[in-house]
Amino acid sequence: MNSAVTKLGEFIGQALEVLWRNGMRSLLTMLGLIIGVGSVIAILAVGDSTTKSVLNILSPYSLASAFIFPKQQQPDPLLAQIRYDDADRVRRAVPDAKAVLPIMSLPMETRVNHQDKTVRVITAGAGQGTDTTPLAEGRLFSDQDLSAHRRVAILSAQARHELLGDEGSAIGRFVRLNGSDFEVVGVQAPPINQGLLGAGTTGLITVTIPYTLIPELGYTFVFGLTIVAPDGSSVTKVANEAIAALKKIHGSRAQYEERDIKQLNEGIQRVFGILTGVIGVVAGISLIVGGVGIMNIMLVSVTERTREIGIRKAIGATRGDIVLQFFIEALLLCLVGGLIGLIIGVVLAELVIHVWIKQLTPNIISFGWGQIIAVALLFSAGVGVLFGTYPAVRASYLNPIEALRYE
Amino acid sequence: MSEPVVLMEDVAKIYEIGDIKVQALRGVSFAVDPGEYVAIMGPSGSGKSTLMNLIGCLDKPSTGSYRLDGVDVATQSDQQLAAMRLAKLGFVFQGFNLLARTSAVRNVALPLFYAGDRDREAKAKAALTRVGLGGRIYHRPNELSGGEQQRVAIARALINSPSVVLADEPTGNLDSTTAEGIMTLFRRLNDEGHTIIMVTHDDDIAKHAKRIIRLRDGLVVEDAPVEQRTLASVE
Repeated sequence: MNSAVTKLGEFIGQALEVLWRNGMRSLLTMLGLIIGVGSVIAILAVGDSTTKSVLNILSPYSLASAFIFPKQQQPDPLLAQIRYDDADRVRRAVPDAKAVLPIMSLPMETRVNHQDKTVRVITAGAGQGTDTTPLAEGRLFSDQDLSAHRRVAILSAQARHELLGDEGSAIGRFVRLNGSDFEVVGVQAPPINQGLLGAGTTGLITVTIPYTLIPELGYTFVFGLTIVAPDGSSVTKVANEAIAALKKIHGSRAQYEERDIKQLNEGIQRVFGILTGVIGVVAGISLIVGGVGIMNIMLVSVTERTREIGIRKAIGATRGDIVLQFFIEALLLCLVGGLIGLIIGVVLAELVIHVWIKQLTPNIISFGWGQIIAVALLFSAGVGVLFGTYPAVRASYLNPIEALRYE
Repeated sequence: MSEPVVLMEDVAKIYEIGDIKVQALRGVSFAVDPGEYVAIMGPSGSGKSTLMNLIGCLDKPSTGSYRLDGVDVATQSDQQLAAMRLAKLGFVFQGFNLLARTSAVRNVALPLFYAGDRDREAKAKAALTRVGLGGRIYHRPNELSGGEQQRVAIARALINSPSVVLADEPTGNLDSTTAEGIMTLFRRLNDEGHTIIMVTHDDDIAKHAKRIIRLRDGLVVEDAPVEQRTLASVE
């Protein structure tokens, strides 16, 4: 047993020597595998990191909330329209809901430098934000803002830039919307997740105002309701209860649909999963191509070294000894290639993540290292076993008499 | 009387090349006792290479029996034959057959590697010293002369203390002066008790042996002691 281990170590040493001696050839042989493992690793790492980072954009608040609105196609659209007052009635009907807020999104007119400008105005509740975009300055709405019907506003970075300019602090200044003044209490940070999933609002000229101002602005009907559940797992149940309550108010012919982030979450994971899978398969094919290249060179190597094999056999090497010798060479070739591929893949992934993914989300969550390294080792060892066995077995079956005669 | 190292009884070997059967050996019988120094001679096609491969356990007889150290080769598996080559035989080839790009000491140590011997470097150095190459142990084959390469091969053949040293035209690639040196070495090894079987077609070389077996057309036509043995000077 002990001598078998020493022998194995010796085989590994000899194999490394052969690979090192034929440095250029070894490198070229490994190239296919390096590219294969490198791309598999890069894709897995970027996919993993992106999924985690994108999911992280969504705040815990939004993970627990659902959006309910009338269906586009229904028998009587007017009947299903949600009224501002519905929020309170649904709230009473659904005790599990932590909050029910009417949502409005409407264009309003303002004047900047004697020019008319249209801004998008949306409504929000106290301490509420759909994404983790931090405020550049100021605060979110307070309960007092809402109960006292204060005319306050939170500006997106773009709105601040367009309406107030970039000088000094925006807090305490006023924006004039549809003829009345709103005091700025907060400004969102510049767009980092602009346009992504439509969740980001900071990139548009958007002004957020308290939802309690909706009736005063002259609106009875709203876009929909935001339902806040105690936690992410109960969102769908609470939302369905709210829909039931709405149907009680508007009649059973009214139809509503519900969207919650949990569905979105699962959607994101599924899409990224499929994308990673598809690209992974393509990368996997390059891995096989790399493996075939290694098998080819190992077969060439066996032919070139026919005489050596003959000598070894004449001296007393068993078939197992010969198999082991060539198998270990192929395996090491693959493992070294896999290691280089791993390094290249990780560097590539870090580059993509920091240059591209960084633009989507401020907080990057890195990929799982253990998983990545395990995949690289597994794949390259797998290729080694798969494509190294045949040349090694072939070498072991060479007839020593003929092998010794080989020129 | 001790048991013969090599015992051939009515050994025949038939090769089938396509439909044609070639009878390389047609019933060869002889015995080689420990300590003998035998030359096997014959023109090309006489079957001496086939006989060499059989003695060397690289091949099995078609009929008849061959016993090496009392073991019937025909009953041995490939694995067992490899073990017999490792333990009982030492090969010296015409073309030296050393591993290129591998130092002399590691070439010599190769059989010990397959035997799983841990002390092989020291043993290989000692073997190289015995054949007069103590000063060139880390040279590679391409840095050695033909005679030196053959000495490395002889050291490799001796390293496992084999029952038989098998030499196939050991001086075929060497000039006569160098060949003389190799014959001197063989004589000394024989004097030390090694059994040597040497295949050659060269009468002058064969006369260094104590006994000559002549083959023709797959049969032994003469098997006699050398009367006027050339005694290579022992250095």
